[in-house]
Amino acid sequence: MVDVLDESRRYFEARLGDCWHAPHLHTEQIRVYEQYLSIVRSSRDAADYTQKLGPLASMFAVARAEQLDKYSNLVRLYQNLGNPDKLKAALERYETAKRAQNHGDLVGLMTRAQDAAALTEGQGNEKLNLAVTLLQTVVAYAAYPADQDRSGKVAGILETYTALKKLDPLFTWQSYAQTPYSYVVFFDAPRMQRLGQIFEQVKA
Amino acid sequence: MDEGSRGMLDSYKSGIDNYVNRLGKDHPKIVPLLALFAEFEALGEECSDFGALHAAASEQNFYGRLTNLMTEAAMAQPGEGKSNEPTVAQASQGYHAAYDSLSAEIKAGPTGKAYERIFAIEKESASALQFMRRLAEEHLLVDISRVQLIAEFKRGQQEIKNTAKHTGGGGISVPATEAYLKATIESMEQAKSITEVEYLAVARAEIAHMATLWDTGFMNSLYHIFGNALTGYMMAATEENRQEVESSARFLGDFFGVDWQALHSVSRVWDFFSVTLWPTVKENYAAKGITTAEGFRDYMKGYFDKAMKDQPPVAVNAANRTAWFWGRVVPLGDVHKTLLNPPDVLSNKS
Repeated sequence: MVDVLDESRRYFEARLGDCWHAPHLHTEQIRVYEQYLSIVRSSRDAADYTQKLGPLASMFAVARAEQLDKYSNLVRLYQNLGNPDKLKAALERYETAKRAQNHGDLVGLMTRAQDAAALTEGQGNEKLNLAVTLLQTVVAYAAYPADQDRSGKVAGILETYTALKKLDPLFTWQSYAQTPYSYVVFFDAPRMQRLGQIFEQVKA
Repeated sequence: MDEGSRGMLDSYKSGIDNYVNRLGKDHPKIVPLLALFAEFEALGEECSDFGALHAAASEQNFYGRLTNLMTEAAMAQPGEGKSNEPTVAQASQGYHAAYDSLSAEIKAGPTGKAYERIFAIEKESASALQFMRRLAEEHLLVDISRVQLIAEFKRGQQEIKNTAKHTGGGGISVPATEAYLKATIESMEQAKSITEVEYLAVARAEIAHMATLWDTGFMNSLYHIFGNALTGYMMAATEENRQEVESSARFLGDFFGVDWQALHSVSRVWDFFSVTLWPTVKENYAAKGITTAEGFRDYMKGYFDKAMKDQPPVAVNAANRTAWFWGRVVPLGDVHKTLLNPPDVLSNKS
């Protein structure tokens, strides 16, 4: 005869132990597993345990805690990386998981939130791609003979800048000093300032 | 019915099936649950798509009502002669279904081994609870997620090494990707939960994405603009092409503080030159007696000297022989090493 209380205790202890390997990534799960463990430890027998579990028996609390941890980890990641688009997408997912009241919510609401968040994330990636391209087009202009026809180079700069402004209306050359754009910059401030002057001349 | 609606209904059905198997379909807590689920399925048939089903289900509180009944079923005692627990076979059903859907190649690898261990434990377990407890204690739940990822990343490492063999010519010079694969494998080998695996996969991929973009811009500015100008001049020695070589060389002297020799001494540049560029073109130069990357570099230098003949020497601002990498100054000579071991921008923060 399997000892339900002992098996349950060992199961939750194992899961909890895994969470403690990186506790900052498992805040919600740790809270929930400790709640289950507390119920196991205070139960006299299997019937008492089932009774005390009440709605927790569905394990929805665990499923939601997993989702909350997953997205709060991403929220923290994008806060650290200073990426507003991806932060917004992660926050949308986190808030959706928080609103879920049952397994159906988790499946249904999350599916919708994923689509919206994926769009925001895609835009975030595109902004960075365009920022790298813009920097390269300015370098290509600066490295090109001044006496030759540079209209193609100018067009490249303006086209990229327009596309980037469309996605990020607040973008200016100074944005390269801030995250997330600063992650793709390979020149220090004095050299970026010189390139910035070239950019402003071309744009004028 | 669309895929999204079917997926949600199937997800509910699989949860409900567990209770049906445990309590029996005639159990007083199961009868209303099955009846409500049948209504839910009928609603799914009526609705045009997932959005419409979700809206209708929310309005009629299907989610709440189903959850309440499922909770009651979870707490219910089985009828006489029935066990209160699902059987081991029921608990392992999902793992068998997942295993059956794997390709023969994956079954033969580390993922297959993890599943084999799960099935061995299944045979040894006296109850579903014991089965799940043992999977948790042996970390098999996370293993089936991570071992395949680790295997894929190791395959990626191998593919980078073998690119030259596959193409018969140039290899690929991608230090940021190499760093990503190495760091991800190392951290996933330490991971103890699916949450950790998922987080590491995303975090490492973000860092790699930024490092790759950085490297793309850097290499384009430091080498490709100049290299393309010189190649154009080698193909057609026009005055226009000569000016392009001269102008881009002056840009390098000014913005990167390098002349010809310093440029080709930058290990990131030399990695691209010797791993990708030279192997791609070497067949074309065999007839000229050029057999090494160094020989090809010196051959190109001849054209560079020709382009700069009678021109003022390139002014080199050696103070600029650095790059800016994620908030720190890195000597150009250290860029390749830095890309292979990028600073952990998440340390002390995550």
